[in-house]
Amino acid sequence: MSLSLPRLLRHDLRLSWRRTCAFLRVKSDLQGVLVIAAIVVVLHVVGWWFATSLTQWAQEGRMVQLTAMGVVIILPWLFSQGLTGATRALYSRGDLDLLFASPLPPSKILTSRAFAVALESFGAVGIFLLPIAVDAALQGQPAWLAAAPALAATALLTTGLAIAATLGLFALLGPKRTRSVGQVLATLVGAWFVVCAQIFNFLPTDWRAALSAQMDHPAPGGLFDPATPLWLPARAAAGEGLALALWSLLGLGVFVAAVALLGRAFARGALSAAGEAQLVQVERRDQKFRCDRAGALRRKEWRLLARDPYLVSQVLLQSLYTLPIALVIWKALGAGGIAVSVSPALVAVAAQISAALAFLAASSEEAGDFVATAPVSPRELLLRKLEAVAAPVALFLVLPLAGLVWADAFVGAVTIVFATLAAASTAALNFLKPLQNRRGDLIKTHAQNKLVGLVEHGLALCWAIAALLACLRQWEAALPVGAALVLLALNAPRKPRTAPQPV
Amino acid sequence: MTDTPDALRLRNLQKSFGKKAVDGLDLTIRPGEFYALLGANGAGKTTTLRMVAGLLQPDAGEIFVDGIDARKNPIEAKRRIAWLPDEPLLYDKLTPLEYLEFVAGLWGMQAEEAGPRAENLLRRLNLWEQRNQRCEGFSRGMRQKTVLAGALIHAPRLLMLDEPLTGLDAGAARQVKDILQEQTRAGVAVVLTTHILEVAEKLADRIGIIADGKLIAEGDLAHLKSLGAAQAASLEEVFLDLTARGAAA
Repeated sequence: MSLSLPRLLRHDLRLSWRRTCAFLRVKSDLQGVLVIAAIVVVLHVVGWWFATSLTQWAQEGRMVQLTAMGVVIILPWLFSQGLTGATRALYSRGDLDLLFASPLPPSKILTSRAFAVALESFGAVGIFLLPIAVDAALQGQPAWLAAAPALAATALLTTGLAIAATLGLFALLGPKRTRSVGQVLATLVGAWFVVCAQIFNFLPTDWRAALSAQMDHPAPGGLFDPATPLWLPARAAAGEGLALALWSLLGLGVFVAAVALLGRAFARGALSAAGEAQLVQVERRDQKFRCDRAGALRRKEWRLLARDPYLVSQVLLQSLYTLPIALVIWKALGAGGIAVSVSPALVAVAAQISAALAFLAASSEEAGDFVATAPVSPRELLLRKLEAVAAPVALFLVLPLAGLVWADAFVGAVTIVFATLAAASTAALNFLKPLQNRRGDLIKTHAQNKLVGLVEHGLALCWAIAALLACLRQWEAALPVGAALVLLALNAPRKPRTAPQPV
Repeated sequence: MTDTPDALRLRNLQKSFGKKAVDGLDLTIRPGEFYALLGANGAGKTTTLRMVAGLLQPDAGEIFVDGIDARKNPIEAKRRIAWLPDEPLLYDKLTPLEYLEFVAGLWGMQAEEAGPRAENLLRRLNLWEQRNQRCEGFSRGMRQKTVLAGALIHAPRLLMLDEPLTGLDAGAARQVKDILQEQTRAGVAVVLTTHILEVAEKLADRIGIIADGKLIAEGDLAHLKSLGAAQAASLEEVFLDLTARGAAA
């Protein structure tokens, strides 16, 4: 008799939990529970003020509108989590070979794995959302507790859709491209969460007023009419019994349909994904053999980067996250300050991209020991790696910087200086404090060493503020410059690393 | 008598990681010699090779590679060395040809020399058809062969291999053994660590047995047999006998 679904589920949930513990960098289950409990307590405390605002707005009869805004943000976030989980389920070999070699039906394997993905998605979003809902309930509005079942239903729905989307991509693009496209898509959809979280604040005042008027007095059957089916998840999250029941049924229905109908496709996909590793990509390469040492080192870094679209998307998305900086400053300075408002954003982008590329060059060298046996001095290696990092950063920023110089020569020149300093400082930080990690774990590096992550963000912030103040011709620009230099000095190595050193 | 320097000369080499990993090791390997370094797990073989390759700083002692003091002039010493770790170090996203181009660049070779050598090595190791395929889908054996091609492209004078036959099928293992013997005929010194004692028995000119970081026996097979128990008939028996005596001492 084959393994029952609950036991298989238990196995998958255990794997999920171990991944969570690894992410939290804890060694035992008990430590994991304690860390998560501490996070939940802290989030309850932090969320109290936010919950107070929510309950006040809800008393003004805006609860459904509030949950609707939440749904617009959370749906893509959960879908992104689902896409990441579905891609991992298809491609990470782990125990899949063992499971497919067993007499378990594919639909049972998919059900268990999909449920684990849904639960991980629920946990990732719920840990931030539910403390606020609980706080709001403690403040006298228990209807907010409906957010929990609504979120669970949404996690089931988005997981079902994400599995269907991933297998659809598989059928359309084949195993080779689906992995990259799926990961990039998940990141882009996830970025929507950041944009959504800010977009309303950045709309012009008259647009916001018009939108508010539409929401306060919606046209019957229109986009903002809460009675339409489009508002079902918002009404469910607001605690309307029928809406919650319907939304839960829909979530469960989509999930069950996905695992029931797509079990065989999942098995086929996972098996061909296993074969994908054998299908090595053939490239035309008729160029001459080139052996110059500096070029060889640079070309190696660029090739490795260019051939990993997921990494490229991760690096470039960091620049998307800095857009709100420009918008905030633009709003503060008024329409006349466009050039000045772009300057700190570009400086922050330079810092972030440079940091990411420096991490890839410095910390995730796949054959570090081999390179250390080459007759190349550590100084030359460092220099070539810095060159390899600098070129793509410069390439990415050259057009916006040129545009800025054209718009305002002084602001452009200041931005070039501070972007260069920002890029150099975050690159230096990554070379001074290398974190050993795999290239694919780029986004986990800050979780691995939170101090380095904080310093990196601190440097980006210091240089961005300094650029803004310098653009405004304020002498106070010297202060953040000093702060950045102090941060760098504090992180300078005091003695040679004790790790294996080249002789 | 010639003035040709030893391919590798270690004098009183020491390295400690809390406990002594290499303890006053003396070793001399001549050009064109095939030397097998045997020892139980943790005996100090890999630590020794890593110190020679420049990956670990010795606590004390001397390392001379082709007559060059590797501690004083590491770059010049590294020019003459190739090191193959037990786990093939490759870039998954590069093709074998790109990998060899990178290695040739690191060792400062001329393109006119490196290009034909790369082709020759890849053909010899049956990797020519896969020369433009990324290494990410390669089997362990193919990865091992690619790394071996990288080790040989810059014509080292001292080739150090840590368990080079692991993961290779019989045909590939035979190819690698043939190539190593060719290298020794061309004057390259080969130092090999292996747990497959039959390989050492058949290929090595001299065999060194290391235990607790010390060289406890060294010589050709006949000499080692004379050191072992009277009835010792194979290298395996000699090895087990000598290491057991080393442990008892």
